Amino acid sequence: MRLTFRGHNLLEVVIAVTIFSTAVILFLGVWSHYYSAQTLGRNRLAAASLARALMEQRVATGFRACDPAIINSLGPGVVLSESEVRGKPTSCRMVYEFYSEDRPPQNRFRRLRVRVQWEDYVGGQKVQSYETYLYRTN
Amino acid sequence: MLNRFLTIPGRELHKRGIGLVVVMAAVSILAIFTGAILLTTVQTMRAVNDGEATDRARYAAYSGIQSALARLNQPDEARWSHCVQTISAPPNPMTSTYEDVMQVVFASDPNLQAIVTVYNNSKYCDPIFRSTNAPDGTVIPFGKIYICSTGIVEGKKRLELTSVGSMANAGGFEFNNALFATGSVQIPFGTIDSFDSQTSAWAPTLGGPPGAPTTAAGIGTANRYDPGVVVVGGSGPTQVDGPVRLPTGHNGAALTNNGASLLGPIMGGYTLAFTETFELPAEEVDTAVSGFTKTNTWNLTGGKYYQVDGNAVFSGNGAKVSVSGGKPAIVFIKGSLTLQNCTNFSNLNSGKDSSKRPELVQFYLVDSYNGSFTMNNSKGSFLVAGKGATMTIDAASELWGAAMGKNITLKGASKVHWDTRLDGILKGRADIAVERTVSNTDLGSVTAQEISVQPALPPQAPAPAPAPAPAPAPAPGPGPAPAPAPAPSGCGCGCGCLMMSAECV
Repeated sequence: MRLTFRGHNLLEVVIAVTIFSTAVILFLGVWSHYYSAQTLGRNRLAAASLARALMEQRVATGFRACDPAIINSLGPGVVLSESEVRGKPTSCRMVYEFYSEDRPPQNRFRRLRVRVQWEDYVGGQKVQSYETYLYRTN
Repeated sequence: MLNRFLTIPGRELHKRGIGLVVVMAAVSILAIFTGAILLTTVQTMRAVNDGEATDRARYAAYSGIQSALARLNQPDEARWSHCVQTISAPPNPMTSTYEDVMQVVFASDPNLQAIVTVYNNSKYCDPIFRSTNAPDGTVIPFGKIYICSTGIVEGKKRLELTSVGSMANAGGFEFNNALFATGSVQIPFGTIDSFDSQTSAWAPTLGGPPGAPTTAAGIGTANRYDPGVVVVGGSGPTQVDGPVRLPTGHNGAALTNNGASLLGPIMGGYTLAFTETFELPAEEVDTAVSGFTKTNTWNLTGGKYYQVDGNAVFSGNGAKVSVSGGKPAIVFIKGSLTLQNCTNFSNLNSGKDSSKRPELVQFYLVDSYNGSFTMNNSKGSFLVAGKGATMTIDAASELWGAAMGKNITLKGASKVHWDTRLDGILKGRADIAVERTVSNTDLGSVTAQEISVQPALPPQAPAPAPAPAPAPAPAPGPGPAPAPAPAPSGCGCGCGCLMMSAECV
């Protein structure tokens, strides 16, 4: 009887290890994605906040202050977003641009657009963009 | 070690396979742990996406406010209220059939739109359509306009809505006198009476009800310092059917009556003055023309602003204005306005009806040009105003409308017929601007299932040249604005929301 079960423990271990390894490999992908998503989410939040702040600032100044000739000549600006994840400092360089554009035929409207771009180790260049319009009486 | 605890003497077979069970248990725990992580990740990303969509919706709503301002600042559009004014009174409760809602679409993003409703409590709006409260509870002070806008971002699975409310002021002035001047009003020989431009035939009436002087024509001045600022009679039969309004603090010498018949009361305490500026911003000019002398018809399009860079002279029986579209054409003149022998200036010879009512032709003499208004042997239906203007109506002229200026003279058996429909309604360029804006209002007002589509925002021009790198060039500018998206039909369940049927809860 005992001969029948020889090698069973080894087989059991091999199967268990295989299952465990496969599961862990799969889970590792999720854990890795989790970390990437946290990073991406954090940077997107920072970019959205920056874009929103820039937009609000321009909207508050009013139609006349958003003259395309002035606004579009300002060029891009840079903001360094610094944060700490599990005690490890990380930073993200964000480049923002603000555009103003008159709407023909009578230029009563100005289209305001803000773009924030950044790059993080998650890969690829990310863009956050908002736009709105201003009428001349504001 | 584990086997030693699990093994029961004589029953060794039971421990076979226990390693697999332990591994499965461990994997299960890891799976639960990983699932929690996955859930957190999904929720985090969804929250980030929602935050971005909310921002986009809010800026769309803000654009809707701006688009509403553009519409409100068009001639005759300052009367816009939440109810389509084709009925005698707004229904209560409001139904989608009568709700005057504007939909704003964006060429740059077909999933983005704004729905705008206006609650008007200004004098531009007919009293019956005015609102003192918005559905979100906002109290609208008299003279203000409340604009509600909901930005909608249509995602793959859900709609994101954000509403914004803006309180706007509505400046303007009333032509509530036949003649009103900041300096003097002289009527040595003439007649002031009133008529109703909405009646089938315009019939000037005399002897207006003394108990309701505002329904009769009147004359007035804001000059309280100079004696004799209002003089009536002296050169011929003169009659004023309406109140003579004198300013606060005037003395008894303000009015000189040389035998004229004053059918209305003499009223003091008048505080009206020109508070508005008669200027047209360059962005508002729809059509600009050089100064001219016209002997034929000047065709104007209703709902447009015109600017004359110089003097506007109309001469002869063939000189007239014709306005199409049923809305007022507003003309700003950087100079003087003269009507000489224009006996049919507003097509009056072909009949007098609401299609020729005075408010359809409005002339404003631009402040900084010190123009004058002269009307000799002419008949016309229009409104004319100029803050510093000297106005003379002479030689049996007949003005159906009203005039406001600095010094006005009515003589030579001329007549001014004041339109009673001008009473209490603001005219002119509204120049409506936002005073304050509140985000995230509870916009219970948008109940429309049928939305009146307006070509709100102007066509998109090519995007501007990008600023110098490091950023890459912005996405290519969208082309001309596509046709407005079809109006959302609502969920169809009768709840009144704008959700798609699958989204309605």
